[in-house]
Amino acid sequence: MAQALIEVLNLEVRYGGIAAVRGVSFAVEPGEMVCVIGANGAGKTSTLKALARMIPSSGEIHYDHLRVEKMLSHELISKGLALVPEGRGVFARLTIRENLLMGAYHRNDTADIDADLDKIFVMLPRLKEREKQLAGTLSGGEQQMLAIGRAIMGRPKLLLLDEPSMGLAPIMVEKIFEVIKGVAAQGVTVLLVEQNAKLALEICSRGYVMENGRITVADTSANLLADSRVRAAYLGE
Amino acid sequence: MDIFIQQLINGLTTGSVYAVVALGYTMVYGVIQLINFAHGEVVMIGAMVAFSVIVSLAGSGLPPLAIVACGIIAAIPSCMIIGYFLERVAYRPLRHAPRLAPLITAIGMSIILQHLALLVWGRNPIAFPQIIDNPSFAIGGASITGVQIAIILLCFAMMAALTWFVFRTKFGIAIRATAEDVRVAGLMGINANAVIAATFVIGAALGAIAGVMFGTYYGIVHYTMGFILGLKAFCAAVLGGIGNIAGAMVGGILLGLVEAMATGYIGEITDLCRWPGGGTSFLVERCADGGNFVLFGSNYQDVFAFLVLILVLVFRPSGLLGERVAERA
Ligand SMILES: Nc1ncnc2c1ncn2[C@@H]1O[C@H](COP(=O)(O)OP(=O)(O)OP(=O)(O)O)[C@@H](O)[C@H]1O
Ligand SMILES: [Mg+2]
Repeated sequence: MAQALIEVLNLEVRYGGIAAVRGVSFAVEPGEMVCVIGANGAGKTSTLKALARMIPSSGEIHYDHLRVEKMLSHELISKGLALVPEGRGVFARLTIRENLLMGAYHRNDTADIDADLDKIFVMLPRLKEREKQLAGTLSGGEQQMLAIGRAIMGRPKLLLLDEPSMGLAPIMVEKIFEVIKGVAAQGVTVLLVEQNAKLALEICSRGYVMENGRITVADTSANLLADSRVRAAYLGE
Repeated sequence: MDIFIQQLINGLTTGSVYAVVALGYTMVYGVIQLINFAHGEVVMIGAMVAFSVIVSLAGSGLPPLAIVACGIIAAIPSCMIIGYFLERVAYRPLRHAPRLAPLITAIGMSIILQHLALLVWGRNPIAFPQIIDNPSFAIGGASITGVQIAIILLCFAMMAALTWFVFRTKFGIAIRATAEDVRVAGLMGINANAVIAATFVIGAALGAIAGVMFGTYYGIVHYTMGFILGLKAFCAAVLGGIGNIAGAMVGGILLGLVEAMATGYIGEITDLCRWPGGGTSFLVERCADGGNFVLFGSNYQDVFAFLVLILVLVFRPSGLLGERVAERA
């Protein structure tokens, strides 16, 4: 196995007395696209929040020779670790352009930032038209696009995505997934958390199944899509 | 003399000072939902420091304007340090405590600052040196002084500068982003502690200048002056919509105008002799020959700000400009 970009060992997250993540270990290699699927309350969001240091956790998180568990949330993006949070988290009272600029907050290369903005606007033309509009006025799908675009503005090496399909119509979900595929094609490593297991497994090479705070199955997407338990539990068959 | 125009000018002067002080409340509230009740005391310290500097330079032969400028230049960093210290020592350790705890600390800090000023500057009202010429200009049946013009211009310049900073610079946008969602702002690489400290320091710097203007305008400073001034500016911030920067400016100026108008006319309005039937009954003697029977005089000046506060809280708690934007989807 090649050197992993991120390797998580025995991660645990507790909320008061409740253990939401109970000893999870996994790894993602550079350039890979991997998903984590699982039912409501399985602990997927808690895992990503722990990786992004938004909540405390125990266990080890090795990322690009760094020990993430010893770092602070705002130090991560400059190391190339970006999270698109559950529910998008766009700044509703900032314009679309300002949201995107905040994605590049840690960068000082003004000329390159402008070039990246142009690239994002090519990739997401709907945002270009609304550049000066407040992000709160966008539709849910557009906000998700914006949240992903904003993360890309930080030039991440590893992009963590928390349920980008949440609450969106199927046609929009497809568009979002196209965008994610495009990002991965540019060499960004992607860890995708999804309830829409079918779509997630179709674009990712490997997947983890999470249940009650534990990873219960880890396999290639092809095998997971063929697995009868996975089909029954997550693909609605 | 035209009362209306005169009170318009007076109201604009005090209103723009309120607006600048209100910005300090609203910026901090916008980011951490804390009412920094010690902000009024920071303004007071600004006035006091400027007083000391101006007095000590008075005999130096420097031009008067330069002396006042030195006073302001000394007041600004003093207040910024206090603002930073307040956040660091009094509020940051309580960031995640129940909301009541930092509120009580804020009141505690305000008492401490007042008493520090009491120790340094004494308990008597101090005449603020009026060393610059203050010519008066006639305008539409009223008059405006040089100091009033300077205060209004300076306040509007500060408001314009702050607006530019908050809406046009990267750090300003980061302040607004943090105000909206600290956690997501963290994901962008924005250090929330730096942003929060900055709102205190910027608010304190504005407050310092406001304090000097206030001292120059009224010609008197006192260790308790921050209390009422701070409270009024807080009312202004609530009137505009607390947390909203444009709201603080609008609220401040509006409050100054309301206060000035009400003060200017309250005597006339509450003069019972002018009321229908005023010339009859037990008032006959008082009202004869243009006499009057005034219920409330202009010494009720300080009441109006709080009246406005109560009305806003009852009828429009979110303030004039508060939270009309679509919330997060
Ligand atoms: N802030 C919190 N306080 C207490 N319990 C929480 C908190 N956040 C999550 N939990 C609990 O932790 C468990 C895991 O939640 P988490 O949000 O990680 O699940 P999830 O897999 O992302 O679910 P979903 O698919 O619904 O987003 C759940 O039982 C949830 O109720
Ligand atoms: Mg979740």
